[in-house]
Amino acid sequence: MTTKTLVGHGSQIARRTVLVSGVVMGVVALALAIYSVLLFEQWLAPEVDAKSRAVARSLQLSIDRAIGHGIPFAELQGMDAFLGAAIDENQELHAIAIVDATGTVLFSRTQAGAASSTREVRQALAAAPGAVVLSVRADYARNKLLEVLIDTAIVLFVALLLAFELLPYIVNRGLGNRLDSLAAVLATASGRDFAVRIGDRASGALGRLIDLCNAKLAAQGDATRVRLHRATAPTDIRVPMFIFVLAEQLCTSFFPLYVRNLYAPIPGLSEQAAIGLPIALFMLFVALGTMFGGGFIGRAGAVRVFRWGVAIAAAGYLGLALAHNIYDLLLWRILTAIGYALSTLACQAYVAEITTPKNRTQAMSVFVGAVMVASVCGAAIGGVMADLVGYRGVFGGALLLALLALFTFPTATGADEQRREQEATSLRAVYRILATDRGFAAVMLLAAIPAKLLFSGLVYYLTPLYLGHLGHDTATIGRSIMLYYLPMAFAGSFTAWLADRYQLRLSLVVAGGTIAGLGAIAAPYLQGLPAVVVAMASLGIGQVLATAATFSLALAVGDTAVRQVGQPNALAAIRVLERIGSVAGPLLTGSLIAVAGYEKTLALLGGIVLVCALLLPFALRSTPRGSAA
Amino acid sequence: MRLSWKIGGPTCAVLVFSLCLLGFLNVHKFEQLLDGLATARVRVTAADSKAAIEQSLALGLPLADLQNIQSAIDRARSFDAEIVAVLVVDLDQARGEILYASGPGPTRVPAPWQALQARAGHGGWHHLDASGHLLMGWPLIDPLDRVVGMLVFDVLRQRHAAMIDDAAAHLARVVAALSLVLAAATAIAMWRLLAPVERSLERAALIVAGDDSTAPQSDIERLALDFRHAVDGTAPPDASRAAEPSQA
Repeated sequence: MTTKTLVGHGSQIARRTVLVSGVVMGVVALALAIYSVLLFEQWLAPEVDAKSRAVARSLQLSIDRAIGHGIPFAELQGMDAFLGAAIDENQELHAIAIVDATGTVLFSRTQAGAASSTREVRQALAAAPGAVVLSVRADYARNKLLEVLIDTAIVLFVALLLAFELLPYIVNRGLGNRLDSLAAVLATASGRDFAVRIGDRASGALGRLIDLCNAKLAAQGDATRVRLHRATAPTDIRVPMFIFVLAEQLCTSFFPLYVRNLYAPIPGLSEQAAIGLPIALFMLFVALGTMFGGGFIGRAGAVRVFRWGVAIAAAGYLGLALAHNIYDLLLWRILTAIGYALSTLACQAYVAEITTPKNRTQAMSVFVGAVMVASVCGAAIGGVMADLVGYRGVFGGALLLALLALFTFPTATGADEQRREQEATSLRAVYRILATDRGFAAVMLLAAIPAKLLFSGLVYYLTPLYLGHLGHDTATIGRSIMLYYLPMAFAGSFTAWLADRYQLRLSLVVAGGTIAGLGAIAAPYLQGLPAVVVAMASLGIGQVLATAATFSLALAVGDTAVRQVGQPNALAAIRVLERIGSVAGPLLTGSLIAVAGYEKTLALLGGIVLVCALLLPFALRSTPRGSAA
Repeated sequence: MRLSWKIGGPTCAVLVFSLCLLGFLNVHKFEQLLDGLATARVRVTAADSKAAIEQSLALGLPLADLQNIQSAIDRARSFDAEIVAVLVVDLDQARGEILYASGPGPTRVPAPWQALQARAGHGGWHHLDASGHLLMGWPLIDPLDRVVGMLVFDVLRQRHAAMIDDAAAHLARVVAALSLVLAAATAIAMWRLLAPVERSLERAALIVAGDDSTAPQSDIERLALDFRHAVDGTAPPDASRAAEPSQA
């Protein structure tokens, strides 16, 4: 009752703070965007007219030149194509007309689509009595500025996500955690246990109350058994984790472009495969770090390992910012991978240490949520930052963020620091037992690995290079990548619930693979940005359906093997094994691009995922426990 | 420090930072649009000059011997007040030498001829130099498809820079005003959210200190009363209220 309601008080205040801040921020940002559009339009309209005058003068010169060769004005040939090319190249023009001295239109071309209002720009011909008359779209500048509104909406969305992450942290650090400690100690003392003191310090009214309670408890005597109580919560880890993953994700939108800038020939590898190599190595070392980092956590504790991880990653970001060529870049990227693996492992270990098996799954969702939201924000912010400060500057930003994560990580793991029991089964035995289970292996080979293959190939490799090749800026690349993470961030827990509640594991895995595959297969038909947008959104939707279900399915069909190695070991093995796809993705994608080009490569990757997804039910039907799916 | 300040201050800082970021990005977008329009305008003028020069090259004469280039680049410069100079650089015979120049712009080649030739391979290029000049270049190609020269436009960007500064100053004032609104709204919201909590904590402190005139109105006050009874031994605590310290 009382204790429970008090414990939730901090979260309640955090929720209200976020809601109020979101509404106020939304209104103010909208006001700023509208003001910006109105202000900029006044300045841009004369510039549009100046450009139109240059176009009119250019057309006049060409026509004068033709007339100068002796061709009668009214009999000029090829004018339709000539004016068509001019109107296609200058989107601000609604129509072009060539008129004679009486104002009769001799030649004209109008752009498709109606214009609400136009301004006229007239340029007299020198070689004949007549003029070039341009109709300039009056709303051209405003339409261009609408991009400002769209940008504002996206930046606002990202800013609100950031605020949603930071505000609960601020409220919990300032109030929530201390209220929790106070409530817990008061309740314990009410049960006549006076040995527990409130370990948190505070200022103001809360500080006075804490000091008063501690003084009253001290007056009860028996100082020998005194224990300090500090409230800890899985949410304590959310902000450090969020900031660290944000730092890592900042470079997603441009990393292959950066590698291409530093490219130097690597014997035995094509340029495309070499560009994919740092991404593949990153994935490989994250997998290896995840496999072997657990032992460090057991010995050194989560706090210390997180610090090591951040320090290693920070050195990596510094190196990436100063990299000379692809060779030293590989080394720095490997450092960031090791740092990333250790830090994420430390966060998971922290959550495991302060939770019980009963609330651990829910607490881990806090962790997964932070990773996903950081990925959404990181891709978008990194893209915008790269446009503003360049690629190397973004790595500098990543370095600062990683160091900031260090300061937000809790300094202790709570009142009862317990080390988790070391699993007795050796790593080699775990992988051997799981790999020889046909059902488990089928799910890995036909669902988990292909999904990661498409993910790393499309998100980390193909999208930045393809959109960069088409001339899109890194902000657009970042926003495209954001499309993948959006469903993952906001619908992941719903589909996980769906998979468990209705036992839809196999159906969701097949449906997810099919959607992701079809979205990529559509690339050659859509081309360019639409192809990437559809592929990215399909991948996001497909994986949000399939990810949690793949884990459940693998555990269910490999039930015997999973019971032998233990569920935590099996889950860790799934995470490591699926990274085979992450490692192969960039290398395969790079090699395919060299042969088939961007769109066909995307379609081929989609085809692999689709075929694997459709084969999975047949593969499982032939296994002894296929019915478990 | 009062709770509303302690929590409201950082909250306000996060929101104001987000607003400043939006303002900054809006100015950047404006700069991009303005630069896009300016380069597109110069490109139209330059395309005419390039076409005129390449038509002359079709006669088979080397770039240095063409008669009409000077008039073509003088005309191009006269069309646009922001074009301060137009240069034609030889990349064929006298490599890196300025063959024709119009206007009081740079009298030296903007880059080594090898660099210009490398840029020519990628078509048109542009580069903003440290003094605020925008240099735009296009390769001149002869009928045999060889790059024989480079047409370079030196565009003054001062007017645009002033416009961008103006826009930034305008928007900075608006962001400052909106930040004040944001701060005021946040302060009011935080005060309304946190003042009752703070009052409750003050009353709880009075209860723990032994003030019997304060009747408990909230959970924390009731808990404080139970606590005082327990430590003073004045009344048996309600067993149902006793609980272990929460781990969550």
